[in-house]
Parts: sequence; structure tokens; C-alpha cells
Amino acid sequence: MRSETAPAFFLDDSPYPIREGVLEAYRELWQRFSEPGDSWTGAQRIAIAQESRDAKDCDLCVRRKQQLSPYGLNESHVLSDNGKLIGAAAVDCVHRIVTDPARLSRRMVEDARSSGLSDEQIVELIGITCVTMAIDEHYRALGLPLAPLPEPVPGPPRGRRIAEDRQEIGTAYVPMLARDSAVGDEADLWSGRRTAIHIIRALSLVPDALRDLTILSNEQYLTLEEAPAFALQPEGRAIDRLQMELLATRVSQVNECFY
Amino acid sequence: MPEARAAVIHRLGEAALVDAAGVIGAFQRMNRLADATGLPVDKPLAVLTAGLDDELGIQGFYTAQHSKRLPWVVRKLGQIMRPFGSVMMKVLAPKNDV
Repeated sequence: MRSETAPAFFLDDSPYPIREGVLEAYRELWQRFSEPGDSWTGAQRIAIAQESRDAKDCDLCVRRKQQLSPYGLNESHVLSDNGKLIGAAAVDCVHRIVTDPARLSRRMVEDARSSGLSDEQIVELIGITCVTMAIDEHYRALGLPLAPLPEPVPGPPRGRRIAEDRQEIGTAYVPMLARDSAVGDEADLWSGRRTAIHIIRALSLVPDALRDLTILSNEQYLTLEEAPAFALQPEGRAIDRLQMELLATRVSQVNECFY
Repeated sequence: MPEARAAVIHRLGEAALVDAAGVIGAFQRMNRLADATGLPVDKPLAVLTAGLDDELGIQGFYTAQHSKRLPWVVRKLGQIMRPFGSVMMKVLAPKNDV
């Protein structure tokens, strides 16, 4: 179902020559975010995206980051109307992911679970937060205003679940689709390959969250086929692979990401 | 930021600025995705980059706790094999892995 109310998402009035493939991917992702997901409604998915933006101006997050421990302050976020749509536990996750990535730990996921969020809700939330941030960071780096978020499509969450016997539990903080379980409706997830590395499988408990990621990665970075071929210069890009990896390394260093 | 953007445009052009900004966005996402879900480094990669984490000083990162530190023998083996990394990656990685 496609929304009639979701605003178009165009950058072709930008001062820079942004590739059409990038624009198409962003429009498609905005559309997908506006629709009900597997665990959250369309309104809640847009609320998660909005919260990822609001986190940038959060006073509590600023003060938390100054603490020796990420859990050093015994305070909770004051929920906006937007935040009330997803609840305090979800708001806390989104804010920590956006503002304090170097100190993310198992506790964030465990706190979310003990507050009543399902693993599927947590995974879907992480996906929306990270994808929204990736698009917004592209805008910010170019000095462009952020695109307005789309109007949500009404309707309940679709409630699809990966059967427990197809899940791999314990490798990460959240269950993932087992390496050999990308079959049937999920046969596309590893792009036709037999298995996939962890970063690909991270969101696979919610297959559409992984599909969102693939749509984005294909345009912002590389396709699954291109990524392991370090000597390959991806087509249509204005920077070469070495420059891409240098940027990736620098961003990862700033975020203190060991992975 | 305007100065940084102008420098990139001057040296590499506007299209390069756009693609560079895209890669920055992509890794802002990937870093957070990996650390929010607690991903350990994949074993073949961990072996081949053994010792590199010490050289780069990234074992002190808080997020290093997501990955178990390899035994000394395996790390030493990885260091010896590193010059042959691209070949070894194909050997160690599961067939058709991505």
C-alpha cells in the first residue's frame, strides 16, 4: 500500500549534483517508513524517526554524555507528544543510539526488554533510527536542510515474525536470522548468497528492516556484491574505493566503533 | 563545515563532496547498528586483523567488549598471515559469504 499523503522527497533543487539513485532510495525509504511495520504502526515509525532528530537537541543526553558512566544519571527523558507515541523505553534507546554510540551496551537492550518491548520492536526501532540518521547526516554534511518526514499511513502493525527455530540467539544482543535460514520469503536477504556476515544479519529478525538497510547501503556505500571486492572501483561514484574506506575508518574512529 | 566543504569541492569537485557525505552517512548508520545490536567482529576478519586492534589502540574502545579477544596463539597466527590477507580471506570465509 502506498501513501497518498506522504510528501515527495526530492533533492533535485539542491545546489549539488546528487545522483538520481540516491534520491530514489531516499524517497523509497521515506515511503516505507510511513507505512505500518511489523511491530510498530506507521505513526510510531515516524515518531521514532522524529525522535532521532530531537535527540540532537536533548539536554539530558548532553548531561549523560558528560558522566563517567552512560548510566550515571538517574533521570528519564521528559516525553514529548511524539515520544508518548512510542513510550519512554523506546525514546531512551533512540536517544542513546544517536547521541552516545561509543557507549552502547547490552544494558540498553535489556532495559528495553524489561520495559516490555519485544525483540522485534527493538530491532525495528534500531533500523529506523540508524537509517533516518544516515540520510540526515548526508544532508547535514552537505549543509542542506533536513527533509520533512512523511505523513504516516494508518493501520495496525503487520505482526510478521521469524519462527524461533530459524533464529540465532546469543551471537548479538538481539536474535538474528540464522545463517542458513534466508529461504522462502526471506530468500532475498543475503542477495542470493548462502550466508552473510554479522553486519548484514544484524537486523534480519525483522526482514524489512534489513531490506531498508540494503536499499540505503547500495546507494550511499556499496552493494553486497561490491563490498568484499576491495580492488573494485564501484561504478558511477566520484570518489574511489580507497577514499571511501578512509572516510569509513575516520567516522568509525570518531564513533569509537570497534566492529 | 562550509570551509571543509569548499576545500573538498576545490580539490575533488562537487560530485565527490556528495559521495563523500553519503559514505559518512552510511558509516554513522553502520557504527550505530553494529554497537546497538552488540555485534562481535566476524571470526575470519578477527583472525586476519589480529594485532591490528592493538596497533591502532582501539582495544580500549568501550565497544570492544562486544568481541571476545582471541587467544594469543591465534592472534600471532593472524599477524603472520596478514600480508596474505586478501587470499586468506577467501580461504577462511565461508563459500559465497558476503
